[in-house]
Amino acid sequence: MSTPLRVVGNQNVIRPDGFDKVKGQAIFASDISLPGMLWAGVKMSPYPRARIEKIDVSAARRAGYTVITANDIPTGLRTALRWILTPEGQNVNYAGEPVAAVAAPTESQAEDALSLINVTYTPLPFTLSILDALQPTAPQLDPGSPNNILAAAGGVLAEGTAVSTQTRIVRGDINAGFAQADVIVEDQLSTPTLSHTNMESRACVAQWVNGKLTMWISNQGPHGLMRSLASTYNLSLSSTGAAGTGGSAASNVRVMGGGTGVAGMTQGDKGGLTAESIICATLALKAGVPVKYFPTRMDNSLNSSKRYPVLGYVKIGAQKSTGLLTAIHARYLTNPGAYGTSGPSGSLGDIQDAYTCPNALFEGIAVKTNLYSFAGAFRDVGETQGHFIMEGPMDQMAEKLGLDPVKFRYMNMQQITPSGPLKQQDSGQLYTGFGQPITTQKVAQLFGWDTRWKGWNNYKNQTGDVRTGIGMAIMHMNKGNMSNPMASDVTILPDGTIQSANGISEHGSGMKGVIVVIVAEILGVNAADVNLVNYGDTDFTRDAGGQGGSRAARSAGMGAAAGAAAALSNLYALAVPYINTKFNLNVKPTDLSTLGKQIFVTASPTTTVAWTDVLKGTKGVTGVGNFFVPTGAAGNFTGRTDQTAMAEVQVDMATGNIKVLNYAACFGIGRVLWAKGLENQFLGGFSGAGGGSALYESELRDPITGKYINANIHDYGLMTWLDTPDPEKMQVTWNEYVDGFQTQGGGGYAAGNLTLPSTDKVWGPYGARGIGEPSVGMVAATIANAVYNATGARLKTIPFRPETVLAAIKAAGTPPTITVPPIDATNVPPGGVNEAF
Amino acid sequence: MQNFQLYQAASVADAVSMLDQNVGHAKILAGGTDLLSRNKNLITYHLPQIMVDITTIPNLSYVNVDSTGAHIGPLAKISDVVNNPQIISNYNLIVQAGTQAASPQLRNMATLVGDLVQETWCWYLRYDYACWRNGGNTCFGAIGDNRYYHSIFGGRLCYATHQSDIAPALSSMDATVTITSPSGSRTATIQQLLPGITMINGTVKADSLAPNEMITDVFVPSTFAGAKANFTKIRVRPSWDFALASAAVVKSSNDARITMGGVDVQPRRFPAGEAMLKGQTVTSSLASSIGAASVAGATPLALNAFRVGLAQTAVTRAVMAVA
Repeated sequence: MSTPLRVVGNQNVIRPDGFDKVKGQAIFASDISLPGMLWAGVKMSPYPRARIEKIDVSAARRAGYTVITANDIPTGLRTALRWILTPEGQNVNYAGEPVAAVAAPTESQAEDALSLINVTYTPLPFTLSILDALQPTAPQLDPGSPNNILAAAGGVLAEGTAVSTQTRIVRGDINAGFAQADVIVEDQLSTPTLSHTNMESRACVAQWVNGKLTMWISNQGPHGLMRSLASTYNLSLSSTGAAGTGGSAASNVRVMGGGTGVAGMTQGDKGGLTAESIICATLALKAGVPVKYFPTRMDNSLNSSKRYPVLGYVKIGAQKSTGLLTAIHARYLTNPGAYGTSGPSGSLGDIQDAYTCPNALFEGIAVKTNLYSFAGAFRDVGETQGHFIMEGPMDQMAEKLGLDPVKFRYMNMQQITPSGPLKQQDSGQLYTGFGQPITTQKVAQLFGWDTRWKGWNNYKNQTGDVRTGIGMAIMHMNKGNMSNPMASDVTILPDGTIQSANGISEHGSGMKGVIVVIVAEILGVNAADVNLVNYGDTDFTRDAGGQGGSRAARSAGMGAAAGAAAALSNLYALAVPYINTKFNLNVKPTDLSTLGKQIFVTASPTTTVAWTDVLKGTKGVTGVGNFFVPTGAAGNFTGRTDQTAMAEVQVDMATGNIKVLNYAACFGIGRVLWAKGLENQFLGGFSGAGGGSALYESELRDPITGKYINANIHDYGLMTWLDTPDPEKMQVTWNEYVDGFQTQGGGGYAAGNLTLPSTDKVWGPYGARGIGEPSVGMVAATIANAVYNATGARLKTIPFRPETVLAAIKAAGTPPTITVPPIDATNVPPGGVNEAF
Repeated sequence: MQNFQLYQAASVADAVSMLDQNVGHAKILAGGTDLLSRNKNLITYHLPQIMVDITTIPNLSYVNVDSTGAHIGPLAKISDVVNNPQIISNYNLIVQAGTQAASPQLRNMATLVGDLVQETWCWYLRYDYACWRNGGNTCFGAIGDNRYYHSIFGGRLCYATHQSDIAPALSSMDATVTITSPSGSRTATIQQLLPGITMINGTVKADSLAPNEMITDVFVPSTFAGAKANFTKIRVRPSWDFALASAAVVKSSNDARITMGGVDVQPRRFPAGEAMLKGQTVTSSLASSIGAASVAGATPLALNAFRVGLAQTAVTRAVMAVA
């Protein structure tokens, strides 16, 4: 029998770092100032493609500034896969590509130093778009990628990044499927380049003392970065410091990546060994004093990874008599930029399992261009693009079949419910979602879909400039595993004070809230009783994985749980003889429970002792916790978050302005850990990346020069709070479904190192799943489908700015122009097909 | 950032004298919301070596309303003006325009006068392309991505629009400005102040101020005090964006004014529309006719034709709103 949860899911738990942030007391990397510290600046190419004939840094060096070029970058990173600083004789491949860096006493002097560097370029022809880059006459960016189709595998910048250059997922026979269909929808949609535009740029400060590198940095994974920097600069890790199995105080790299060291914020551009960290550390090494790099808004935009653009072709077939899909063909061409190494799998990998259609082909290639730096994570790794391109045509199909779009989705989605059997997915993994049918039912109820849906003719029944409509979309998101083990330390001091040491960062997503909730639940105290110490500091914490892939709540959460359980185990070891002596009993640790810093005998709750009595005369207890996903069971432990969203929009037919009146979503969240944090993720996911990128955001380049024209917040189109729907009109619900840990008795986590029975369907602390990326991915598709219901116009490209909406209204009803070429033997990249990801 | 000397002026005479002694090298610093960031980002050709700070001059932040009209001082912030109860009740067109200009934070810092003589927000200028305003001889907007920031009514040299929201409102209210130089003062209408693209002392810009002149007063006559007025602005984000098109319409019992904003290199008075509106009862068909006439002769560039329709809609809606 499980104990009711006291802290997990409790609405009253507040953000542990909230007051510091609101009062301006939180310390960010850009706030760090050290004696003798220099400012860094980066010299960037103004050309999208050019040969560097000469980089003359002599004047800057004569003026006494520290200058680095390609030769100063550690050799392991000096590859054409991505130069950190591009050397003479090589080509720059996007406007903004760094070629040199300086360090100077002040920010202003760093600008002066940059102006003293003279770079001679020979401008070369360039391409910005996928279709242009595929032309036989297009400039060839990379000899290793013939026809500009990405072939290179591997990646230097992101630790553990999976790379696939072509995706081809086949099930059944689409030709047979289309032959069975009596309704066909065929369309082409596209998405733009997005820039993370975090309020905090990718700031860092590097300091070398006696051969040890210390870095204060806004980074998603302090321990991963610590290991990458050690490898880059050939520095030793301590014998016990590897992979989080022990502390790393003896390591010659210390990273303070979020929390006690520094706070931060990210949407995905701060993972792994970033160029900023290398430039900053290399400058500091050369200068012999600390160096701060606080990129300007423009530097931060241009040298960041990006959400990659996709040009997608979709053809789907269905039978009118049954309403069932018979074939899906999706062909996505992605633009990984000049140096991106990721292919279309991020966009195709998750949509493949959204619908049960028996015949399907999901295929894609990545086409290199000079548009931007490199493709990366942006509040997901391509799922938003993938679902936007698929969910529009699915909506069209529902209309052609004459079905309510909810009903059409419901009939064709994975019919898995929590109590149902595990099902082998087409991707080979076990389906561990929480049931799209349930998230769809729940959000439909919350939103009131059945009473608000006025049919496909809704737009035809409206007159005047302002029209309203509703729409919906589903999303099926698979977020991967963490590397074993996930660890933390929890200490209970003699006065009962609790200290939890965690090696993850806090980037606004609420990890601190999640951790205090879990530790407090296990130790039977209130969330406010848990003190986070040395947060994100690799010298004093263990590795529980980074923030990314919507998995931190699971990985760092399990690490925190393991630490708390270990501390409790050690406390009970002291309590058993104390209780047995005091009460003349013969209890075992498993007979004990704790609440309110009192330990009691579970079967006799009045037999109780205080923590402070048990700990009297000791130095307290420390629990070292490690959580391991069972060997061979990793396939069971991916974190799928199914979700469904609905929106009501108002569209001004004359201006193209869209107003989102109401937005509702349901997530198969598994378990709500920190309730305010979850709501915050939902609201922030809409305004920060989902709604903002649907309605306003996109990076633009001048078509003639290939140079940037909107690398600032205003022109890029960041959404502000004034543009978001009334928070009262934002509705979120979730589907909690838990087994596994909760059934283990006691507070869920008994004691000691945690392992999972391999039969568990869910994993994550108390069964929780990720919400960070899922909160974003459906927004554009949902709004686009609602706009169709209001206007009869299909939005086929993001963002939905007035010119796009007005063009769509004008084009309503006309057949699509298909320009996406087939993928065949002529453009399959060397290295072949990568189907496993 | 370009280094500069800060000169804290004691009086208007002191300020214009400083401008006069440093022609081409000195600029007035008031709200500083754009000048300082341009200076920091090194994005215009003629960055001043001397900033003549006029915030040290006493008594310039007034908003005075009497029976003859409203006087607005050169240091009055946009928020000072739009929150003034008498401006709200009698000169509401200015309030409607002012509350849609920039963002709340900017309105608290920026002066109304600075809004009139603002540097254009063309993204080519802002990214240091060698355009006409930046020491070069190309308008990149005319040939490149001109969807938002360039004229739909043609241009000369520079095609960037004049983006003020307040200037069209003042234009429709028949406002005038007093311009002071060491040799005295002159008065100019909004059209005279903002005649389109000028080249003065080698600088391409949108206003007619000489290098040694500063605006020392804005006067809004009571001609249209309390008249029906509407400012309609169409933009991308409702919170914070320049006008894709705007219209400032005011209508008294026997007169009317229409000025279009964000579509031309200057606030575009529309006298033909005013004649159609004057003395008439507003109907939707009249509003539509005036809207259609407002874009007659438009010559959009490659990517901004959608704004012809937006301009028409802005005028139509603003006229309807004064019915």
